[in-house]
Amino acid sequence: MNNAEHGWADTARLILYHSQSTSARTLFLRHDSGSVITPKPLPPLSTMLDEEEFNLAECGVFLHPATLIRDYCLDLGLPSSLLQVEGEFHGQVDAPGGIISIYLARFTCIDPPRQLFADQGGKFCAITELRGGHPAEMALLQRAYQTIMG
Amino acid sequence: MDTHPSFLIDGQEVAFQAGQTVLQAALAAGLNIPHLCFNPELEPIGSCRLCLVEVAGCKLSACTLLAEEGLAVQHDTPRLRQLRMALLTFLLEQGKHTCIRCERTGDCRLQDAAIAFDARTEADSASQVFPPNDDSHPEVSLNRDRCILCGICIQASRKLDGKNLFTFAGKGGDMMLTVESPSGLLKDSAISADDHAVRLCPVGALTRKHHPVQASFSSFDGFEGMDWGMPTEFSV
Repeated sequence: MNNAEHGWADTARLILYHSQSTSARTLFLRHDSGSVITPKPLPPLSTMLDEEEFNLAECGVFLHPATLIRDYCLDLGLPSSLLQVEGEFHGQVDAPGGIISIYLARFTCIDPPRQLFADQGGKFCAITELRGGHPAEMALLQRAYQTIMG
Repeated sequence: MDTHPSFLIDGQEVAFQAGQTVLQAALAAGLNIPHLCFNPELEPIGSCRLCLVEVAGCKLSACTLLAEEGLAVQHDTPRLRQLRMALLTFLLEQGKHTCIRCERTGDCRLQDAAIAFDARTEADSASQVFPPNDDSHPEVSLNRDRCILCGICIQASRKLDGKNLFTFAGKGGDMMLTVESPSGLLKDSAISADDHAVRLCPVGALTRKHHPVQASFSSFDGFEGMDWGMPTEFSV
């Protein structure tokens, strides 16, 4: 599970989170690598771009985030409605290989699907547990959290 | 030849049409997945969680889960039954569900579900503090002590009645249904007894006054053998 090479992973990646609908407790999926970026971590020399720095010309063909989610869920053998795109969030990272678009997606299940990712070392963590990660990831998480909390 | 795509519920093949949720397809196929907050006239919101099902170990509400070809859904497992019972018991304990005194008895989805699952509570509602009821309107009563916070009336008032009369206020255990009127009371609102919001309330939270008890007891089995002696604090 979750080992497929996603063709889009060089140009687009995901941050996955779960938010309890009643308590609003928000947990991000951290992979075994220590990164919250799906399906693979950002390259070490990545930098998050501010919105005014967005470079659309170098992005090539934009994939709709729903396509990424459908592909990712298919790989996990899950219904694509398990994940829902947060349309208000779009981040960009300047990486050595080019611009990477980052999208945010929410697990729609009632509880975080801990068991589903436990086999590969995946863990659902509060944002405070994620301190000390890659600076670009931390900046993306901060923006993602602001989007989630409104 | 049946050309509809299908998915599995507990190993049973269920055909669906594009755009249908798992709950809609199951109900169309005659399978009974218990639910409170789903109403075919409104958008599914998945607030009551009673229709929970499991897909690949993830618990999802069937009313918001889109049916997909090849989906394998678990519905009737010991774990899910236990969770559903816990949810029902919680709902019963959170309100003052004295069926024998309720105008909606016999036409109440919470009552139906409680009977179907034989859910009971020993909680003493007399010692609980509930938000105030609103009896100010000549035709409609708002019994907040029976409200399960499903949100059907909010959506129905907004989308079907075009009135936008209700909303939720507060958080967590303090959350309650409020009325959009200058005084916060039903008497100063535009509600009428014929509103869809009143009609679609799945429990006895919004009831019509001067309306005969709606009990027909024909919509479900299970009243035979039920204990009708007092006290009736959802011992039914």
